[in-house]
Amino acid sequence: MIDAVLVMNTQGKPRLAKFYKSLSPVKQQEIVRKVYTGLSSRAEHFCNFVEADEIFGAGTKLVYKHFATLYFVFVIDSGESELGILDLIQVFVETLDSIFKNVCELDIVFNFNKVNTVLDEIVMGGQVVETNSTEIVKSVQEIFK
Amino acid sequence: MDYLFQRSLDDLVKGLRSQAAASGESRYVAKALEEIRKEIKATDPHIKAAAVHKLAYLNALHGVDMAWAAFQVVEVMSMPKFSHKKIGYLAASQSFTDSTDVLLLITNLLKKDLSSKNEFEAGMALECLSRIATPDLVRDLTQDVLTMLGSSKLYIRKKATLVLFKVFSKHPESIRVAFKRLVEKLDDRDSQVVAACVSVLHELARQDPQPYLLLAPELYRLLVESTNNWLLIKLVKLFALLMPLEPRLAKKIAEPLCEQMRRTSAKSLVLECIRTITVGLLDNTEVVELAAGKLQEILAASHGGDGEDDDPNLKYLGLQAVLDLLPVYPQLVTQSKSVIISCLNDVDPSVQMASLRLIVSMVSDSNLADTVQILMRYALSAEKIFCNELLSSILSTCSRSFYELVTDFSWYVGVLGELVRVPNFEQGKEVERQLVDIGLRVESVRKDLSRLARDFLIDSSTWENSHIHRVLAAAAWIAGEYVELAGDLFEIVEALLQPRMKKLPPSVQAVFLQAVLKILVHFASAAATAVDAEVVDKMVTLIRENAGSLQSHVDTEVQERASNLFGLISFIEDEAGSGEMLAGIREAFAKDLGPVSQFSQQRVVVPDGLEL
Repeated sequence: MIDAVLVMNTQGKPRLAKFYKSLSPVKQQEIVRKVYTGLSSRAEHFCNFVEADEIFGAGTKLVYKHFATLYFVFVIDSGESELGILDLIQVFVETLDSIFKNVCELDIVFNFNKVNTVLDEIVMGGQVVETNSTEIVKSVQEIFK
Repeated sequence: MDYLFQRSLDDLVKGLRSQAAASGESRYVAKALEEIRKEIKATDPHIKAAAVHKLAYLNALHGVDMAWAAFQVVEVMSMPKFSHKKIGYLAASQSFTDSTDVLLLITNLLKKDLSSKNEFEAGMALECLSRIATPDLVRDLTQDVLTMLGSSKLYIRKKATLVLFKVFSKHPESIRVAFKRLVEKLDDRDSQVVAACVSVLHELARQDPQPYLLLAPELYRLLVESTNNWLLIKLVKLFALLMPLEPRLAKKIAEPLCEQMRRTSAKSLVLECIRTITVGLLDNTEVVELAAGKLQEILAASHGGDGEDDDPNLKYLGLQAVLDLLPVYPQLVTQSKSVIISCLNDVDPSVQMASLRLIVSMVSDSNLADTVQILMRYALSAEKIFCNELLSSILSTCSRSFYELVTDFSWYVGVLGELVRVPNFEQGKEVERQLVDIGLRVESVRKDLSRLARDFLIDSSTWENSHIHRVLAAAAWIAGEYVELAGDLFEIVEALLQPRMKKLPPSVQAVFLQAVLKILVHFASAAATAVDAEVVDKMVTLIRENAGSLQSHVDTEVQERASNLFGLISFIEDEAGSGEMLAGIREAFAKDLGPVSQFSQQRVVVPDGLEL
């Protein structure tokens, strides 16, 4: 299961925050801060996995990728494959890239609805629904026609 | 209200970005919230929808509570225009909880949207259901979802399949009706739907695998035929849950599992296969060999040599997998030993820890000395946190099961001595415990301990590190307790009474004083020659000079022990009868203290008539 998907910049400001478990807004903000603390100390050549037991419970991990000024973070439990989810982050970013033509942080800032929609086409209720970037782009373009 | 004057979400975002300080930002948010509260009451759908849109943004990214607007969210969800509706659904998905009372109002709305001819509208309703479903909603909408399983559109079928997980979780009785329909999806013509189905089965099986065992033949077919990587990953994980329930299953899937492992280029799948093998196929040597081989490839690939082409992800996951395979394939560690050990030095803390865990689990009494040496070497150059992880591992591994693995205690005492001198050392309490513990249990090594204690007390350069203080207490205790084994007693007393000791914590000073007492008693009672008597005098003078002020120390324990010490001195100086008494005290101290078993208290017989 995917417990949450977060996109935050390198200063810790959240740009996208989707939680697949019910949490109060206050708790959500707290989690975003803790995730940022966990990631900001890691250098480039470190592995893309961080054990997240203290933030999300036993057995959970942060799978993340750092692109330019953004961290893309998928929070998973033991039911997911770490490398598989890493590929999925790639799909997410490539899809955003197709839709926004060389996506940058500002695109995400000013397209709250659309970016959420892209994610909704990839992950539904904490489970993966589509892994093919072309399909996802097609659907999103139809939705925002 | 004319919507020309309403701030759009874009305006809101721009406004937020123009705030320099955090305080400015929160004021801006508060103002925006005020505007939203007014706008959200408007009848104009455009204004209402825009207000909800802004509110959803603030809720998701600025922690603003929007539970108060639930009714308006439902209004927006019910709007005819798709783009408005979508905003309502977005807001609902992220903010509705089990306790949102307006949930009662949306059943019919969802019903309508689920059956919409526009697949994106239907998909939106499914998505919302997957996030906010309650038992009531599910009960009313199960039939609608089941109908969608038969849709001609792949888009609908794959999403409807996934929603079934939520349906079954929130309303378990629906399984009776819907299980068959879910299982039918294993035969769907599109692999994304099949993948969704396996994903749901896997999640359900994680809670209780038994009911899904009967699907094994179907799942087997998929394992043999499928080429969809995502599907295969979930399938392999599902088998890991089912194998423990039925040993014959493991035998059956061994071959297709191996075939997938050989064929695939996706390391993600290889690693999942290895994980599944460690769950149920460890007795199948052929399979284990293949898994070990693949794992070795991965570890080799992870280590580009030079650190340049290293793949940290493969390193981390590879090490974890080796740990899993360890019970049946310890050779893997010896074969990849250099990679594993070099990972102790890795820049990435995750990789370091994985490597350490692996090394610790490989320890036996025959390789203990080598392992400790390696860990010690890395501890010397590691930064503080990992250094102490290493030291702590050494301490806990060696002391495990009452020092089961240690064959040469003389060597181990040496290790403890070295450990203390590692910069960044912070394991004072544990080392103190072990030094005293070993002294109690292992008579033969008390001389080594005494020597070590003397070294610590005399070499005060290590006293800077506050973590050493507990170790000093242990050293003083050992010096006092095993006084017959100590060398030059005067030297030790000098060390115990050096001016620096007054800077130590009171609890440590108290132990120092007690040690001085024991040494004095021992020496004074054994003093036979005139030379000895001179030394006693020198000791007494030293004590008077250095410890005199401690009799009025703030800490009561220190005060008391200092007073005892001075009481003893005046006793010694009063010649008459002191000889016999000294001998008596000395004997009392000479009695061997031993470790007390944790069950001792239970063995004490309660005397008759004593009510506890």
